[in-house]
Amino acid sequence: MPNYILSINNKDYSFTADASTPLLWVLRDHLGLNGTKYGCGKGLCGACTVHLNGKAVRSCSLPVSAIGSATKITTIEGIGASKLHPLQEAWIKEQVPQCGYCQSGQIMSAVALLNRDSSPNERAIEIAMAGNICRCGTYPRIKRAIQATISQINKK
Amino acid sequence: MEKIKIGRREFVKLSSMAGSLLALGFYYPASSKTTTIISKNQADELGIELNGYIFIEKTGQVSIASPRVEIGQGVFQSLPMLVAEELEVDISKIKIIQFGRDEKRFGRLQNVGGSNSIRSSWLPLRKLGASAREVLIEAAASRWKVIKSECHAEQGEIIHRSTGRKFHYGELVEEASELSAPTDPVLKKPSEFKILGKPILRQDIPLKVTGQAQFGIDLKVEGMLYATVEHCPIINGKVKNFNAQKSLAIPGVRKVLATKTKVYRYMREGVAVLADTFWAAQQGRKVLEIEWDFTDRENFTEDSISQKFKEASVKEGKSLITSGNLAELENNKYHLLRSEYECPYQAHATMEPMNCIVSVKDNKCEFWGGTQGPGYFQRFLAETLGIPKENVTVNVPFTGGGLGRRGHEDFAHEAALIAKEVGVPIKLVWTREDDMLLSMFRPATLNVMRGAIDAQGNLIALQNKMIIQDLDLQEADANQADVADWIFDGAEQPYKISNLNRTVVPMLLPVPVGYWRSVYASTNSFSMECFIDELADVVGKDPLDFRKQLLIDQPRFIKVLEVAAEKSDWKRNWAARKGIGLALVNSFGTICCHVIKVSKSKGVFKINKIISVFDCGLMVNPDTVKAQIEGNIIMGLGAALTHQIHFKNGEVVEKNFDTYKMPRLADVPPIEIHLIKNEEEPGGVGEPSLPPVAPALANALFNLTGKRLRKLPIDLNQL
Repeated sequence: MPNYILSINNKDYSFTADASTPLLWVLRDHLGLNGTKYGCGKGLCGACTVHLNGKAVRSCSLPVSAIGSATKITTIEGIGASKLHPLQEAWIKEQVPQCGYCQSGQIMSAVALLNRDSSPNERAIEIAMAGNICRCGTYPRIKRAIQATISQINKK
Repeated sequence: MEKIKIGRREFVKLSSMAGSLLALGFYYPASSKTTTIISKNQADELGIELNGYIFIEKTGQVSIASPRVEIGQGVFQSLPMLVAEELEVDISKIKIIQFGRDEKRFGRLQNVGGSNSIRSSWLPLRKLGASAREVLIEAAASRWKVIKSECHAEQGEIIHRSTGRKFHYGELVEEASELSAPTDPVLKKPSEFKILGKPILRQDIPLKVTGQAQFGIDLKVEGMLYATVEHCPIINGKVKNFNAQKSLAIPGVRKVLATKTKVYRYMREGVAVLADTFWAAQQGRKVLEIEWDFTDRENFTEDSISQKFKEASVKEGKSLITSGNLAELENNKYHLLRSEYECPYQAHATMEPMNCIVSVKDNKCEFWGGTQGPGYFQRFLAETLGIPKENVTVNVPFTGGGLGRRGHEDFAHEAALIAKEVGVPIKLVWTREDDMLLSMFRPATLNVMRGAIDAQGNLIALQNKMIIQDLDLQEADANQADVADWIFDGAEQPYKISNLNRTVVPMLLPVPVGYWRSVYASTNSFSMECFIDELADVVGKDPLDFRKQLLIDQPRFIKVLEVAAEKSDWKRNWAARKGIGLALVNSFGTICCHVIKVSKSKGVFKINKIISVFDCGLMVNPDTVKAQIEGNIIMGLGAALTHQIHFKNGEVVEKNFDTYKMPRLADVPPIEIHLIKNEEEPGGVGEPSLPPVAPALANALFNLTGKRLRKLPIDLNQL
């Protein structure tokens, strides 16, 4: 089995895995980073969302051999590690999560959205978040939390 | 799964106040910026125990046990809050400790389901908190040598009113733990509540926004192997033979074995691949060569089942309620009406697929995983493995959705059988495809409704005949006459009906069915609340006024309808056929009315708004109540508009979210919620706002189009 080195949350991880192993399962089974979740294995639900160079990708469908050591990977563990991201604060203020299982993926998608557009309109939010399923139905609060964050960061 | 009958109360025994060593639970270190949650309980970490729920350290740090399972409904905090309110502590400073199965500590009831956690805990947990408060007061009074009535508790301190002297609880707990606790202490009046009824922030939420919350699927146990099972795609198929040669050649794959798990009257067969990692197990599974025996295959589809229901609808069935004279149903001096309503099979599709870790060794068993029934799973595993109940440990992490699915023990059963055979801990993780295939579906239904109504709008007679699989009659030796007495839940709004009959024709079908959020109410509400609308329409009555007339002696129902009317500008919209409809359902001790507004623009139907009026009596956390209503509405919309399980040759068609499409953020219409504030006994919150969604929508579409929709799901693009 090949060796890989990946940069995750500004830290280099070295490990051995089968080339076809999706990044999701590298994170969860090889590196002990459990915040990224398995929901469908087909890129349909968004629970596995991480960032590659700040852009949202579905890690369940990305083989580790396709990534490369120069790519900067960010997982939920890398968001708000020292100080909560404004989205995370809004998520707490709006009391968004219920069961919480999809929320890592939701937040990763929302962070990626604000990374590329600091003032998206409602339709842009809907499109950016369309890939993330929440069975508990926290969507109204997700929307409110994103909109509250947009107001807050654009006030500055 | 234990079924909680509405209104049943389970009183937790007050344990002796002498200090006791605490059972060791499962530990996962977790901290957020705002709170620390511990779930490994050691006596020195938690301080002195006052009854099963409260632990106080000498520093004054209070910890309160979370006795049930957090599946998103908020009980992780809302149950400890019942204790905290009466105990008089600062809620923002307490630690909450998640416990697994612990009958000694908590009594028999630890399951979550039937929207019953608060209802069954409201008095017992408050009494526990109040009783602890009383012994703390007694300890302080004794130290100060004053009488108890001169002292009171406030935010973690006992205060002597006249002198202002104070002790914090840590200074008193040791003495307090030696005193005998009152079994019937005085409880606060609702007007005195400081935290109950307030939108207190949930302590589990910071963990869930940072990825720190641990779910069953995240847990690991020393020496475990992952298990994935290639299940037979049909319920009564068998493994004829299999070839594991290619699978065993995959690096990381350790063993391959056949599995047989009893699910009601069927044997669910498959082949399990055990490996070091989830991915290796999946790779091994992909190259399995299995020959199935499909001799007993039944080639049904959802349409052939529907046809069977129609044929069964002429049977006499079992009458559950008959009052008055049913001949009135055929009395031509009234307006007579007959309609049939159909609801499809539904999957749960919790975001966390079924999974668990089971270890079986030396006459002991340990279970880690999301379960809605820690006590039931403990008993089941004990029975199945032939070991004493006390030897079965059930550990309960945060759970990625219950929805009723996690009250079914089948996945734990499968894992336990594999673990027993191989002698190492087994982490069974179902793929999404497994989870969909092996759903314990919400049963499909056919309801034949008949009614007789007079010109004044008096409901002279009603017959509700339901054709359905009874959830509790799926075993081979089940007597189909033992129909559940709560099978008409959601259709039992106390309408004034002179002559009434409710009859069930139970069906035996090769589709395993199970508890799905709101259970029977999820289908009963559709037929009942649509039919009430149809009856109103026959005599030209406003369906809201019609319901008020039928509920004339029911002030709580009238109030809900009046608020709904006011907030939705009902009369004007209904009369103008703007596209407004309502449904009123009481289930799980709560009354819920949804008003839905629809419109059509450029040939496209749209849901413009949903207004919900909800009376659940006294609430622990009104914000959590709102969140549950929002979630139920969204799940109900999925069921009303999209979700249907199809079968082809007896095999489930929908196996992932590409075919079982879930509502997305963009699909949610504006939702406006009105919580009725009163001091009635708490009603359920987890489920009652799901049933009214589909009928309110169908009624709104009728108002707009004049077309009756009697079959779910409703495809808005096909109208």
